[in-house]
Amino acid sequence: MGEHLFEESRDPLEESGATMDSSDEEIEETVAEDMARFEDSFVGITKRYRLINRIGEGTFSTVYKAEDLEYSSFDNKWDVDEPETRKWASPSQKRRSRRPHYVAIKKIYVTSSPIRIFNELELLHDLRSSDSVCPLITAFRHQDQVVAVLPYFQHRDFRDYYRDMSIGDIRLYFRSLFTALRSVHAKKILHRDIKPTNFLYNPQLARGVLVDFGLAERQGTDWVQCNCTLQAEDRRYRISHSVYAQTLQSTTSQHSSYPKNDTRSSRRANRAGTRGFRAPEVLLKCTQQNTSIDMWSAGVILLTLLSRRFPFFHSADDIDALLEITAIVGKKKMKDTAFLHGQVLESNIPSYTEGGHTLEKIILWCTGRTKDETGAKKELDDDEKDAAKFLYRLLECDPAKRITADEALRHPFILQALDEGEDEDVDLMDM
Amino acid sequence: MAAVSIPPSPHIASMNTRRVPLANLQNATNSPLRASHVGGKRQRSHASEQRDIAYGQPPSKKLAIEVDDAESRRNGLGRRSGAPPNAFQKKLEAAREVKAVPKRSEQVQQAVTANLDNIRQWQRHYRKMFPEFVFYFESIPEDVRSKVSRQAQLLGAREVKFFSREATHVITTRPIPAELESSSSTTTSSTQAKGTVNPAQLETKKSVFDTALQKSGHGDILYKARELRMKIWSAEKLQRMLSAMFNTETGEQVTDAPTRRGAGGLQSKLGRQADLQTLLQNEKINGPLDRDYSVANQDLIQLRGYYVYIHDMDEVTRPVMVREYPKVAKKEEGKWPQFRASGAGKCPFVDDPHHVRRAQQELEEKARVERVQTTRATVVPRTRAAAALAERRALGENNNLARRLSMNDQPSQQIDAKPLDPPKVVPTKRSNTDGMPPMFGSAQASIRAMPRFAGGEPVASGIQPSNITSAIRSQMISSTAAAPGARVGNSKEVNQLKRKVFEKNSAPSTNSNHSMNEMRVALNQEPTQATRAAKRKAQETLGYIHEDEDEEKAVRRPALIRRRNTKEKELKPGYCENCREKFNDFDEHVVSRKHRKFANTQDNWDVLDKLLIQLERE
Repeated sequence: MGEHLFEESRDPLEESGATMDSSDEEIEETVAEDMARFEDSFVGITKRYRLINRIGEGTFSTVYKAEDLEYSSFDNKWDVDEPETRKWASPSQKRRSRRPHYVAIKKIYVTSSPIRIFNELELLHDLRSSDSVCPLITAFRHQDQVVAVLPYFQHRDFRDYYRDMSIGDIRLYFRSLFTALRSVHAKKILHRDIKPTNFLYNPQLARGVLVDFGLAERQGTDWVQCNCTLQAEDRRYRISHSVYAQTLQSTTSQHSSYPKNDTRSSRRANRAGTRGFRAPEVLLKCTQQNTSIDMWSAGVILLTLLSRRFPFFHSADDIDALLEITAIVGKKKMKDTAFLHGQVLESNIPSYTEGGHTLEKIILWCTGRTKDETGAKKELDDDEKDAAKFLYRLLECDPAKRITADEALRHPFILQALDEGEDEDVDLMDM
Repeated sequence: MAAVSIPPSPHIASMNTRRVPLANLQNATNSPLRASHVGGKRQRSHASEQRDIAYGQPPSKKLAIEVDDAESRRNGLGRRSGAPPNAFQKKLEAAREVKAVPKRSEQVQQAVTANLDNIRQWQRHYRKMFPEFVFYFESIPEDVRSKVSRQAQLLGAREVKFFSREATHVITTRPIPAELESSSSTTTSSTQAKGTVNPAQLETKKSVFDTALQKSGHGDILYKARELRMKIWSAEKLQRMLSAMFNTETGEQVTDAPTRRGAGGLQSKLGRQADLQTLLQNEKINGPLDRDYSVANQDLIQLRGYYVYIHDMDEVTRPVMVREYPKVAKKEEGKWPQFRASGAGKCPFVDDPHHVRRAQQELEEKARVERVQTTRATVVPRTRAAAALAERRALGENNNLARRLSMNDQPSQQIDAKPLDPPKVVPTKRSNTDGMPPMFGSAQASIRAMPRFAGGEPVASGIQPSNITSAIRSQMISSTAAAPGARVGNSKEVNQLKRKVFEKNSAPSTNSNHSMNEMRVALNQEPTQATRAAKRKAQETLGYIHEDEDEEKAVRRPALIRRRNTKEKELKPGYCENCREKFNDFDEHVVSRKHRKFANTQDNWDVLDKLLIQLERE
């Protein structure tokens, strides 16, 4: 994928437009021009789709809402809403089914290489029957312009609801997200860009779809042995025989220094992803990253929801990102994590403690619940405590110990969602 | 990506380990080696690194340092310092003899091999033991302690800061008290250490421990340790053990060295004869082994401030992260990421002065309301101000969370005054060691430049420019702009350089994001407002951050932007993966002959087309 991908770093709020549903509002002049240019340049597209509005922009693409003009001439297995609406429609209505069908058209920038486009489309094709993953309806090319056609999902902007979600809502959100991740990970695919804007969630239906596989890759791509995949004993052995261990032995000074003109090659690892959502091993350039990086990102979303802070991490760059994580987990754990990947972390920054903070404490602090007027310490409620316990399993610095999507779906915290859901149904019946 | 799997050529390997003093690298920047291994982009960033570094490293030190370095090297290898040889030097000497007398080598080799076998066995034994050791350091100088402790931790041992029965070993520099009648000898023999306290014993040991502590007759820790049957080792002994543990002459390390390790791979081929070379190589990487690190080195940059330094434990690859922050009186003033006072919903790592001010106001308001309501003894409803206050209390209660000056003794003018303070020209050394230049078309480029300049003004240290539209502002607040000045400390020149980059190429291909566009336009309109721009520039030169004094202008601007949006064609700079080149304008590039040629060459699309056939709608 070339160097470009290596350096890919997305802004946590970038593409936030993608979740805005202003499609029926008045269209801006610039957007209208843009759409007109697109229609002109892409021969024949107007026969198949009618562009309605621009709904999002990403690093490598623009997404438009469009009406699917040829809907009725094709098999539309992808349309999850259709069977239900048809069920209730009278035959005459069905015939008149001139209700517009919407799709999302993803215009992949012509400056993207065919390999990159191939990668994304091929992975999507592979995932075509995966639960909670946005299906690919079709894709086609005119000269250098490639477009992918995806279902248009009604969803709400994360920023509209992240502060109002109850623990019950959170369970449902993650059950949906982990369902998507389980199917993606079962295919040994890393999504690499898990964040709220890539998970189009509809709180009313408690259903979401995972989108944007632009940075996704197959596990094992360009793997080079990393210390983290060794047995614990071998790893310790490797560490105790490292150059660092020797230096430590022969050095009397505590001052760290680094070479000024470093001619060594830099460690290379795919670090694509969004700032603030990347796992420690991504930041530390682990050369054997696996699907668990996505689980960390999911953990960041959960932290966001529990602390009601978005974005939770600021992370102007990788260093900031790692230090922000260090602020939470503490120096000791981050040092161990660095060693895990064959690296030494040295830092004398006074703000980070050895042991870090508990997630419970951070959640309390972020939600303004520390001490009340009487000075009594406040506590999380029981549901939140369960959530925090679960959060530890996601924000686990050792990827080998981090919970998998499959395990997460069987975790009590998520399983509880089913019970609660059933309760609701019962209530409805009673009414 | 593929480069990773290619083992470094011997040539590169030697490059890896060589750190010649800069004086010997006569044209470091344009030597052919550099050119071939270091991309053009990297060079640029090197230049900038050096520029930053120059502030902290006065060039006058060069000479003295070089002399010193040479001296210490000689001392290290030749042992002419008159100091008694230490263990390492002896080993080195031994290794050297082996090499120097190859004729006799067979015999010597055998002896050496036997000896190494012993050492290896011993190492294996203790490698198993160490993870169970818990050290308590007593009467040991801090620098020795920290070093020894770190080494012991590498082997899996732990350190306890306070003396307790948890400890298995007490390390001291004081004379070791005689054995108690019943305890076995632990002080002299290093090879037959009998392991640690039986964990089962530990369970029932509480009373023993307590009684030991209660016996005030012998208040000394060492006596207590004796009574608790802990092992007491002299610091010197532990150091000796550690040095033996980390001894790599046994060659074990080489046999299963990872293939990534260029040097390691090389060594295994050359076999044991390469021991001296190994040592020398390591020395080249790490510097002479007995070098005085307190003297700054020409080719090593010492981290003197607060820093984070993450480097390869085998020093094969470049450090993954190095960043140094200037020392500050209070850690809350540090520019590194830390928890800061911020309002609900906001990123907790970003200082939010508005939040503090608002909290202050609401607090006053609340106080007034309360004064009115004092007679009513009702539970005070939870207000935002109360929440803010609670947060602040939390910050106060925990030193680890950053906090601004207590606002009770520092009224809000403290906060208001801050934006007017001239930005400090403290050179912050910051170098992403990847040396990647900001990429066009990558989000990185926009992230770094964008937030700092909006409407042509630097944005720093949590200050939000007040003369841009609210849309822009909200975008910036919620994204990276209101950063607590992670970038503060850049000199004016650097800022101006960055600003030029931003003005020309600011927008990555991605950001037709609405507010970004507006920002760009806001920038573009600077020339037309020459006088204002000039004035602002003058203010910047004086080190002031421009705050728009005129509210009305701020209101009028959005209209201006809207009109311009439709009239002026914006440039969309970016990077084309297909042509492998940067461009200033997307629309211009995609119709260029080069790009069209790529687009119309069927070969480029064959693979993708095969997939697209499968994706046809059915």
